[in-house]
Amino acid sequence: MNAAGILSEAAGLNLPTRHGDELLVLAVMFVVVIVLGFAASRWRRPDNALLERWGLEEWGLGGRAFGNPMQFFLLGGDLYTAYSFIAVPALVYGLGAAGFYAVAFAVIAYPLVFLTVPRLWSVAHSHGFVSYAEFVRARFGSRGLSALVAVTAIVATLPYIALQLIGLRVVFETLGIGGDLPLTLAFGVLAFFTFNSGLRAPALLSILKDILLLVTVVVLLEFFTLNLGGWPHIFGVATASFAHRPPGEGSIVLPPGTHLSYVSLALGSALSNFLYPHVLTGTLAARNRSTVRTGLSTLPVYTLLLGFFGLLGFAAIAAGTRPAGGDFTTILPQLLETSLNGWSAGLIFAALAISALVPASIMSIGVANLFTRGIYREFIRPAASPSLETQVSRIASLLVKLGALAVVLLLTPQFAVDLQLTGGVLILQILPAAAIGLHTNWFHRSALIAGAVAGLASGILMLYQIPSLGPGGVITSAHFGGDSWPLAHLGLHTGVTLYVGLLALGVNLTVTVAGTVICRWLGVRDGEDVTSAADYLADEGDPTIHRMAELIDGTQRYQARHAR
Amino acid sequence: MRDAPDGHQPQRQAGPPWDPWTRAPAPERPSRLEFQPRAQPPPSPESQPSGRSGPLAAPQRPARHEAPQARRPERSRWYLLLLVALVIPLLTPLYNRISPQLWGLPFFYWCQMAFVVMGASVTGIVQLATRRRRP
Repeated sequence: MNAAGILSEAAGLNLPTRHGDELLVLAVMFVVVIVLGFAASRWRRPDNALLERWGLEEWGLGGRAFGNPMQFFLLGGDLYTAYSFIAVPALVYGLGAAGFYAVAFAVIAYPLVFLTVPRLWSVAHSHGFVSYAEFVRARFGSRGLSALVAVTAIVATLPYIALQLIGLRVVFETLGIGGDLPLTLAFGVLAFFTFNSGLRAPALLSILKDILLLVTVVVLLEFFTLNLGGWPHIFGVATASFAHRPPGEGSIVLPPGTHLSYVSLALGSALSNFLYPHVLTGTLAARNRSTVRTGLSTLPVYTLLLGFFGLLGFAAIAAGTRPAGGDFTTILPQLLETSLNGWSAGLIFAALAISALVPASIMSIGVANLFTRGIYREFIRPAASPSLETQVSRIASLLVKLGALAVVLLLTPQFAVDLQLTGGVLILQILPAAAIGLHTNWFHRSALIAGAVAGLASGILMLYQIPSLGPGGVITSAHFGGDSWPLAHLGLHTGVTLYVGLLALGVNLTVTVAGTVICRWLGVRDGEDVTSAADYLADEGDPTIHRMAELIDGTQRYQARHAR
Repeated sequence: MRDAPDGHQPQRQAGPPWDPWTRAPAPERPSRLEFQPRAQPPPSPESQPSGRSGPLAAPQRPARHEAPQARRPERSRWYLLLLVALVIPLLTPLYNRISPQLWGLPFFYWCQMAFVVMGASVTGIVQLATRRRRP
């Protein structure tokens, strides 16, 4: 896609000038994206001999060499995706308070992962892991468990990539360039720069994304504070609007009986968030432990941003915005389209579009790394050389994105949303092995497999039992309609619902613990832990961690600053 | 991993010239003869009592780290502070109300935004308090 093409299209089709402005901004940004995406392969690039030797860690983890600022941008672009910026206002528009759980979840996620992720960074650096599958393999000595973790994580992440493309399409449709072609073009750019530059491309693009998001927030804060009568008026209108809705269709604060659902959704999402392979990819790209830890205490800035976007759901109610075609995810683009002038809206749409490309790219890299190290090297070609691994990862990342594109183009978007819901439940089931395993190797490998299978099966069963309710309580589809499971299924006389993922995790942990006790009692042979206690505390500068950071930046300067 | 087809491989003894686990050049690795089991602080989070051949039960493993003793285990009372940021946002009855409002925002919303700042501060304080200092 180039600027000239867009411009001539805009002129030729005689689009309204407003769309012309927006498309011009978007086109310019796309050109910048293309240039940055390809320039990224030359950015901080070591010489060919090193590339040959470090292979996948170079392409798939950016050489494990990102410092504090880059880590902030990269993980910010990784965790806070375009879809979340679009979906949270849509949820708040539709549900009110219950849709704001994303903020609570993001608050508790950071202290939670602060206890595990630095340990993961250390052990991954000590052993050269790029995925959870390899860690689990080393920690519990089980190929089966490692394959189960790899497959679960891959399946759970695929729909997440599709969601980013849906976010992109919603933006394009608002701009009047809906249809398959623009999406496919944007996808082509995404696929090509990821293939070419690996993790460096989304890292570089995340800087551009953040600059645009900063502009976005300033524009929006200014606009919605000064217009629509300011926030007191916005909430006045929204409160009145929710008061007129039938019960169960949203409220300004949580209605009684839904607290547990809110809390379990927040806790479950917080637990699952850092288990996704793309988040791991972003984390492992950090150059040292303190970069990881600093990142976890600075990234909440983006949560404020997300919360602010959530509040725009109320602004949409006050502005009388209607979702296009009844699809609530269009609410934010529709609000911006009707409220702002062409240039501002164009900038914000560009920010949203790049916010979709960055995580989609990192997700495909994360999944590809997982496939290469967890399945290809483990089961298909154990003697793969580093450069072969990189090639496999590149091709896998391409195929993964093609799959996501096919889901979006061929199936309904709702299908991708449902799949993503399922994905969140699935990814939680690797928690005992991948996250608790960072602190203890007490679990027996067979028990972990049994627990994960039990968790996956019970999670899918519970999701199957949840119907989807349309307006007025009409059942629109009988299965996979949500992720809050009514405890009434257990025979309890209560209207309380809980997040499926958390319930399935409970099943998983119960089976794992009981299974471990039984396996020990029966004397079933256990796997061997080849990691050592010190691996989990290792840091850059240790003798065993001669990694890319030093090789790229030069050991001299590096040791002068960090010598211990 | 590539050199462990069945998960029950014998301890790596001779080892290839490149350590397949770290893929780092081998010279700094001490030979097995020189190796001495390192002293472990007993109640560290890693030393879970278990009947398996974990890191503690396998002192014959070559030590790949030069100075594990110098490394404090991750135990500090500061980590308890994280509980505050973890638990308070989950206590919905605390903040599920409309008043007092701030700039027109109901308490439910601005309070959770304040939790973001609180959570970030707590994580930041713990990170600064528990970071490793140079000896």
